[in-house]
Amino acid sequence: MNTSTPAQKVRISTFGKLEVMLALMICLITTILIGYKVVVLGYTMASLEQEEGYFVRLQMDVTGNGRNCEIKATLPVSSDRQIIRHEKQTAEEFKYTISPGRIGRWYAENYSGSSPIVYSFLAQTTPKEFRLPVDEEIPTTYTLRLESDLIADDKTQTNDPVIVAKALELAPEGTDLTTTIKNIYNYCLSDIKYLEVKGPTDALTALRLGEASCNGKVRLMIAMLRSKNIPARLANGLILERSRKRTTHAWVEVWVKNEWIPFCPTNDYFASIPEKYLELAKGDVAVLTRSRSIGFDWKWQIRHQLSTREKAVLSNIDHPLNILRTWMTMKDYRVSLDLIMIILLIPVGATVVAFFRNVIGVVPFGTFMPALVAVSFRETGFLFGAIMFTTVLLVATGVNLLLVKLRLLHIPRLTIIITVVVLSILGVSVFCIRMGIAQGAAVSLFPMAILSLTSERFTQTIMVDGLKEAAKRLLVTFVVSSACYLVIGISALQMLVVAYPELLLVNIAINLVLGSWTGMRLSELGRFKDLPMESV
Amino acid sequence: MLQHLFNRINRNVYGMNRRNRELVLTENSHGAIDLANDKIGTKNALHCVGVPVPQSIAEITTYREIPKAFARLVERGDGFVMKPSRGCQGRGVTLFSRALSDQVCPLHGAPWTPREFAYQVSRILAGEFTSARPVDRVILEEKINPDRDWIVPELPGPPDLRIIVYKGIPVLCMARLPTIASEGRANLHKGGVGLGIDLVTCRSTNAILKEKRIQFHPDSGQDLIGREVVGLKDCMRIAALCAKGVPLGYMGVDIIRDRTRGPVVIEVNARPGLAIQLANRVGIEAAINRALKEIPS
Repeated sequence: MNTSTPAQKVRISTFGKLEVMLALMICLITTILIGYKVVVLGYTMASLEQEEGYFVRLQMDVTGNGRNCEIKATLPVSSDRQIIRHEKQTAEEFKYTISPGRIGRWYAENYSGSSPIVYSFLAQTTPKEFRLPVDEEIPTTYTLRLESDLIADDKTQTNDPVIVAKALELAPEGTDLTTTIKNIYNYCLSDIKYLEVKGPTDALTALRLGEASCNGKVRLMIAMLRSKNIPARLANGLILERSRKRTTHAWVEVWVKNEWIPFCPTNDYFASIPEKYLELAKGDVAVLTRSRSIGFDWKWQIRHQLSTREKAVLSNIDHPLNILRTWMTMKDYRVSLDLIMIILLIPVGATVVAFFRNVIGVVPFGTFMPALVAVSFRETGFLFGAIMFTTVLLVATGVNLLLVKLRLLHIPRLTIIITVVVLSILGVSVFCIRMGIAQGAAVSLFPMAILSLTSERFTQTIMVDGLKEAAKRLLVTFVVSSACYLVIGISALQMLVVAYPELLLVNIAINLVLGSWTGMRLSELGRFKDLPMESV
Repeated sequence: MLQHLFNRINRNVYGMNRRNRELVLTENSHGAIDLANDKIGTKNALHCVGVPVPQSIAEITTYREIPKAFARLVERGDGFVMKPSRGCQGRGVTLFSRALSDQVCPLHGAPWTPREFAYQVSRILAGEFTSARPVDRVILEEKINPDRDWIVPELPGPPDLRIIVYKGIPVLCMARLPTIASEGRANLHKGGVGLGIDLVTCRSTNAILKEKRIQFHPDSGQDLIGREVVGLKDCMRIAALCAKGVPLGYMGVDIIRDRTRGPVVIEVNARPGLAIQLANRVGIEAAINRALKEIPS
């Protein structure tokens, strides 16, 4: 091999000078734009950590009658299984105070107006399970503090002979603590039928009717436990699921070995509390209380909050340069932030494809197909999406190979293929939902036209270059798709692009540089490695 | 160190990125590329500047013209070729030995009925073999009688010559020889042999098969090195002439030698492949510089 002579010009820069300059300028402009927004307009960047939880909003509409007006609500408390964050309240005409016992109080003197009170927070809950002791006897005495959780009240008729007799039947004298709780729990869970009734049901009524709503079951269980000298109390809370409702949910807490252990005889949680239960109040008290004779209506609004992406846009909603606020403020257009984010990320995915094609030198099916496939995989998850994608592709290709034999004209044949693609997507989707695979429903986002064209390319490649080559390119397509998927899945990137859509200018800059690069693709390095050097 | 590494990578060889940016996008205008992609337009343009091309029998633009074209084929009786005007990589090309009133005989396979023939025409017209354009035209042209023994004897099919023309100057040349594996076709990626031809000595210097160096033809065992290409200077003149008809600054001209007519241009290519560098064991950059130096003399 010849060694290079000193006179030989070696091209170190394989990038276009003009393009690199332009790219740098674009980056500079972007930096200035973002800098201006941050420094001058005071843009805030929402925290990158995903803040998952339930956004709970209580709205109370109050109409006064000229007298003093008071509304009280037991507010949720943070504990080892639930965290309450971003607590907010707005009440224009009421004074708001929180008592040390976490009772929120809204008060107005001689109130005759009509206005809403809104209280909201973000709840992050975790499920918790408890262990009950084995062969533990029921204690005979407790500290004074638990006295109120052992005596009867007007809805929990602990001393009623019918209840005492039933409790004795379920757990005869000498039965240990855990078995007693278990037998009474099972009776309230299975033998008392669940019936949706409005308003409170007392323990005795529940036992007599053999059916009750959650609070009836709970009071019966509490009454029977107390008759056995086991302290028990009612816990009131909310079931966290996307809803608007007025009802709260009641379950039981039993004092076992110095702690309160939750039981839900309605939804069958034995010595455990699920993630979706939010604790609001302890004891048989109403969550909301108010002055008599005022107009009062309330509603709990709950929705699942995945992250603070919305805040990234909403926190800067008043800034004139926030182009996304137009969408966000016009709810009528029903454009979700998620959709906007996907649209913003497609060019980023396309850059990944460009990198694979021009720097690495592998050619997937379709130009930007991998970027779009990656976007649809965001909904289904990669593995599941890949299986689905392959299934639909293979079905469509099989049909296509048959259709080619029928000698149909091109466009009608493609129309049949897209029909087959749509039908198989529908079929796979229905199949998955039947099988209980939730991601199956998200398949509708698959890029169908692109899938059809890919199937056509796949078919052509099979017919012209053989199955092996076609399989190889399909594999390449998956590799590139997964790379796109990994890149657009970076949550920091998602947040950045949503908060600063001008970052897409940097995407242009990257491609200006990439498009002016004339170096060898990685895949070509081996191809020309044996050629001799030649002086120019 | 860095320079050494870079030399290893670069060595005057053009990769895809560099070819696309510095040759195709720099030297070839959109109009010229479009013309080169259209075989009917190319043929007319080449014919006008005096480049020998296969004679057209008929061109079909609409379905209505099929019966008339078919009648001409039957009347003519001889072998012919059917091509999509904007096809690529030989897709949709069929060779026929003759056309009768009730059947058409392709060179390979069972005879077609006129209906099947019309179907194939309509597939081409519908754009099935055409990328980027929704519709296409069909060329029916004479089947040339290629000289199989032009460069190397005992080939399973006719060879062709690919000449790279840079700014009107032939800079690189490669003969493409069919093999049994390539099913008689001269395409390198189908398994054809590439033969690097020195433009000064008119002899082959090196041979490749599947991008690996070889010395003998895989089927006949004929020595491939040092073969003279008869009439190469003629071919080079014709290739240079092509750049006048189709104004591409960087083009590949494909030439077949007809037994009676001599060299005939069958196609021009606006983005010819890079394997020609391997066949000649020289980078395009070096070849261009060498050719430019020789021009004044």
